[in-house]
Amino acid sequence: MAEAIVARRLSKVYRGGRGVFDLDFAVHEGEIFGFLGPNGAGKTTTIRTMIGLLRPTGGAVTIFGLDCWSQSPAVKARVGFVSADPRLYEKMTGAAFLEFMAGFRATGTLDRARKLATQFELDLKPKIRHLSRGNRQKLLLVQGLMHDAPLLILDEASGGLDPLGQEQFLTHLEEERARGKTVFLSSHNLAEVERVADRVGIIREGRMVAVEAIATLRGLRTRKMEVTLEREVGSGFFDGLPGVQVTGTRDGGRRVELAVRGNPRDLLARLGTAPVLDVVFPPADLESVFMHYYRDDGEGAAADVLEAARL
Amino acid sequence: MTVMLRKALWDLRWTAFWFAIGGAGYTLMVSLFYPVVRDQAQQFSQLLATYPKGFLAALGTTDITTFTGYLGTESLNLFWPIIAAVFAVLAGAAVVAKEVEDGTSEIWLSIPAPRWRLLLAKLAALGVAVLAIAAAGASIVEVSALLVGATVSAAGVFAMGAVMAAFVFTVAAYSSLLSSLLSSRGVAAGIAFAITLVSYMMWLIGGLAEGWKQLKSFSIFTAYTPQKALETGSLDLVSLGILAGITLGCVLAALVAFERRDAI
Repeated sequence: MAEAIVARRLSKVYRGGRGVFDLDFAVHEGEIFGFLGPNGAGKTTTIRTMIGLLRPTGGAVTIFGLDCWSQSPAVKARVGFVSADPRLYEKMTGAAFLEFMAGFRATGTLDRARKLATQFELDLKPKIRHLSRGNRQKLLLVQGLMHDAPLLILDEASGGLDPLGQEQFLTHLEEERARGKTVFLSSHNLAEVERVADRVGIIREGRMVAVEAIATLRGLRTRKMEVTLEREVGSGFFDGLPGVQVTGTRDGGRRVELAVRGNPRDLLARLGTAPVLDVVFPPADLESVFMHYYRDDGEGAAADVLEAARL
Repeated sequence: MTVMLRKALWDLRWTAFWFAIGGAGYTLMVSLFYPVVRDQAQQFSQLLATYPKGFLAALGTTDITTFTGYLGTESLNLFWPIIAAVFAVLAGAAVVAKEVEDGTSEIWLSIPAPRWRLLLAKLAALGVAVLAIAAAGASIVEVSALLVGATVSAAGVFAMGAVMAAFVFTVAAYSSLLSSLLSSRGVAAGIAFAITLVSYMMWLIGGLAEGWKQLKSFSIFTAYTPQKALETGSLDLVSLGILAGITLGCVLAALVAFERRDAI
């Protein structure tokens, strides 16, 4: 399988020692690669080295075989980039901004931009300074997608979008993948990445701690469940269920907190026999995935990381 | 390149327009007082003779009884270059640092073109703006002369315009270099203003004290002689060459620095 992005011992160290260190990963052509990590983990720094904004202090990253620093213009011609920073040229209208950006791309780019704006229900007439956070993000998305690049690098691209906009965005990514595009999707939203990504890289404190297929990640996650019961069922009620652990009880045993890893089918079947009043089972969050990767470092490190991972 | 140049020109249009109006308007305003000075030339000369030499030198004062001398004293030698230098410093310091400060550098540099070309387009737009300001500043001298019944030669006005433009190009060039090295527009502008002020002080002190006269060799104000150009109608090619050299050196250094630096 051909590689769209290859990072080999990629490092970018800032003064003060922060940055990213010895990153090794590859993104296959035609896949959606989720890039997960809490704020400050190094996601944006990694991306900025990929689009030639930052010069690596060690190693290298290539896109379609081109070095991202020394061959940056050629790389950018093949990349659709959506920044996490929604600050744009405030005095321009959306239409003028897209016209300006399309001026550096092939003929027909502007037509595609207009179609995408219609698809994302984006009004291009107002000045950018009058746009909401969500509409700015849509404008960024349109400019990133408009030149039909074979690789999309998206940095927290759905931030600020309303649920409908997020749905449109994810559906669009799936369509792009179906057309053979490669997507590098940086996010701290596990549900979003889980929905569309084929593989996932997890970065922590500037180091890549895992590159996993999404199916593997699903098996690793631990989700919290809170069960409210009509009456106490006894401490042994949840014994013998694979991947289920009682993490706390309240109200005399009528509220039970569980940590659930893997498929919850057996647990749900067991709950079917109990006097259940309510079940709260939120989607998996990043914390639980991070917990898995931090357990080896001991409890103290895990606590530190959880603190850093608060979103 | 053309797309970037067009945008940069569009961004600069109002700032350049108001500075051109400001510089030219000031020159026109002081020119209109010239007939009063001309009619009382003897008294004014006697008055100026009582002022300290250093004070007159600091203000760029020469013989104010002639139109060119009066204009040099009141505008061309000090006040017009101050107005134009403020524009050059502010606009020059913004070329890269403003993009970084405004958070637009990611979008700007996601454009698939070499960085040096993106910056060169902005510098070219800045050059056009400087030319417009210098052209306005020079042409108003012709208009002022007509209004007050004085005579200036077309060659003199052209030569003066060239000197004015060369000076402002130089200030804009080192301001742009600082902008491409630093991420803060305020710091870049502050240093550029400091350089301009130090350069002026070196020119002033070098002109007043015999023992410090070599200081003038290091000042760009030494090469800035618009009154002389207006009077003689000829260009001092050495002075222009020095300003052009500094400008070119700073522009090249800015392009190289921007090509190599982290742009965040």
